[in-house]
Amino acid sequence: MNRRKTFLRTSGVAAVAAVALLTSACSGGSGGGANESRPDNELHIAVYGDAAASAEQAAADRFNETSDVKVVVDSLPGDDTYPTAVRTSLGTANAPDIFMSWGAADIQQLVDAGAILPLDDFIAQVPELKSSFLPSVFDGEVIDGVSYGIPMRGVAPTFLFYNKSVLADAGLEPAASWDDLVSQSATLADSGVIPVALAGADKWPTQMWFQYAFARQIGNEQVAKGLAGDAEVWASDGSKKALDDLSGLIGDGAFGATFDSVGYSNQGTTALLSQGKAAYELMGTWNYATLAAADPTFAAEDLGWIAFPSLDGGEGKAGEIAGNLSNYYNVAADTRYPEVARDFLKELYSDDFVKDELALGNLPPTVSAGDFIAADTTIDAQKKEYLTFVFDLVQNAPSFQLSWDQTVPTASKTGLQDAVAGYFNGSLDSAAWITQMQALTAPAGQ
Amino acid sequence: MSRVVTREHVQTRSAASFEERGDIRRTGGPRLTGRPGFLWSVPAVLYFSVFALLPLVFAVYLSFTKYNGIRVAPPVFVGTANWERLFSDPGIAQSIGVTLALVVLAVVTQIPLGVLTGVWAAGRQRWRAVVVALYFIPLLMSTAAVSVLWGSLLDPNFGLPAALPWLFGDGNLLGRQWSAIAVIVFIYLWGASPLYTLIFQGAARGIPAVLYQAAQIDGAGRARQFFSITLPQLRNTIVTTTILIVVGTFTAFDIILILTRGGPSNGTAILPFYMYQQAFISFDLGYGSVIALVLVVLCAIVSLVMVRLTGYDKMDSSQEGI
Repeated sequence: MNRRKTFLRTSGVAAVAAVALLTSACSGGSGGGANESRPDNELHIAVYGDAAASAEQAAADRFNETSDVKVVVDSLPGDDTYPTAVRTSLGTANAPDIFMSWGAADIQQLVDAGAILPLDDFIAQVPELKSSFLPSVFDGEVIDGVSYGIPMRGVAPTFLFYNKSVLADAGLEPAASWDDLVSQSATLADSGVIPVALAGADKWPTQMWFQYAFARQIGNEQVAKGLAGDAEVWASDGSKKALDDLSGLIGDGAFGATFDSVGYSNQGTTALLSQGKAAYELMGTWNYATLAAADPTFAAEDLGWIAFPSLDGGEGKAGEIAGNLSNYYNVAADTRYPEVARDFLKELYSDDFVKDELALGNLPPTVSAGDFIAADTTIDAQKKEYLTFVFDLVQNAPSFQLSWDQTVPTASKTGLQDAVAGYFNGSLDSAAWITQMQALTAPAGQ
Repeated sequence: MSRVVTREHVQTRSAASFEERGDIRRTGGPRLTGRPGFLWSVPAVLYFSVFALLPLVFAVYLSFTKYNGIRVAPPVFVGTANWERLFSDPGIAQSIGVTLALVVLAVVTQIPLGVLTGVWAAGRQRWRAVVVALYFIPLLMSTAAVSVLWGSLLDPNFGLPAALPWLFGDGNLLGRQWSAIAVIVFIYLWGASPLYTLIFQGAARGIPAVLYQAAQIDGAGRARQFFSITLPQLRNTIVTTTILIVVGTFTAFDIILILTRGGPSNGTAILPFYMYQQAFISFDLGYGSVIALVLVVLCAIVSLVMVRLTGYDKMDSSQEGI
């Protein structure tokens, strides 16, 4: 008797693991059809609840001044539980009418499930819903020619941040080429500085190096093909050269010896760069705000930034960039008030919304953003310089490759992060890495 | 009186009590004595069914489907595809290995420390109470906060490793599998052993002083007393605690999510974390359910073996005859 009890109890504790699966999977509702089951005269927006949510709240407040159907902002925790929360609520009475996503791969399964409203009708009625945005960004949620998302929040390409004093002390100028980066790494390492701060513990910062090594060596167009499932791209000579470029940097100690124990989320690399223990960091636009919050004096006096260096002999076009395009607002297929949703989406290119985003330090993906930066007198000189730099970087880029882990199917995301981290820590050699990438990007059903 | 109560003895006694009960019933009216009926267990059975069996059954169902967590696209039956994947997935073997390693290391570190500190804390001097109170502080902190705290403390450039290079080498603690596991084991030891100290303190205080007095008269020293009286007397507590640690470690998750994210190269991705990755990052709830079930089976086997080996199911009193 006791034995059975113990067995039941222990297996019960283990079964708690399964509770999460149950709660996220209880029976679904029905999709499609304007529906009375949704709240009367309310349009619910699931906002990703971080610091940037204030601009969306303000947009809702402005909209509600004139609208009979009121926009209700439901703030969800701003972390990686957000996509799960949205997925599991769609089709229920608590579902949002409008929610946020991260690009085509992120919404692919929702599109397949018929849970997202195609926006082409909206765009036909209000062309500005498309023409107001930078095309390279807007295309991030166009799937098979159908538009599903309207860009909002900041454009976030990655580029190199550097500590001016550290470079000056070593008698160096910011690297203009990959070769510069290699030779400077040796000089910096000799002077006891970690040449490049890398938050390897978080894995996603590591892929930024692959994104540029490959963009420079084979070009974004090839990269996009590879990520879409062209296995030959990864096995090509250019791909192997890019991997050699990276292993050269790693072997020379460009990232130090402990990058796998350094995190971005716990401000490990932020401290390295701002305290002068590292010279460079490859990171997204948001790093400016992170550095300024952690060490305002450093950000004001010693922080520099440059586009990722070029590579002699590479096949990539000059100025190609990578990073996060933007976030997008999507509309649930079963929304009760599609017209209200359409009208609210117009807020995303309104002057007020663009200004609010700029005030937050985000670069809105609208074509108007450049003019607003120039005209805005409330932004301080350094921030203006920074935003202009990012705007020009995006505006002049021949192509903008979305972060790899957000381009591949959702199921391959962690595998890809593990593969890039594995190559950096030496547990995968280039042959094994190529095999992994081919498997991770293989089209479904193969 | 016999010192050893045999199984037959127990059976005869319970048979006798059945007869007695029969007598009571014959006299009519409600049953007043005897063991509780099934009704008593209804709340527990109900609770267990709703919160453990039902999800378990649902996980079995999900494990035969393809489901990506979108309610409007219900699970699609795919037969044994998810289970077949289990046998071709190198990640699962690594994950089971890491899980078992972590469980074994947790037991061999937490039990000895818990026993030693618990027995020490059983002393009734006031200063011991003060030290023990301080020692219990980690127990009061949330694991999430503790993980973030240790993450900063172990930062190779600004934390302890930078200050004590002779101890930590290059400081790449989370960058190598075994040092990362060691860090996790250490944090569990630091955070959880106070609880076991508390349990062992209570158990040690329950050992009759007369045993020690007798041993003293026989000339046994402190070490001999510890090994011949204290440890045997704590046997049942050790078994209980071991099961707690084993089950707790099997389902550990938070420290790994926050501190290592399963890294380096999945070197610390124990089964619950692996399940989380598959089910909630990759949104493959079918395969996630397979991993959850593997965890359930593994956990059940280990606890069954433990119960069998330790004689926990017999639960003989360690103070029989005193």
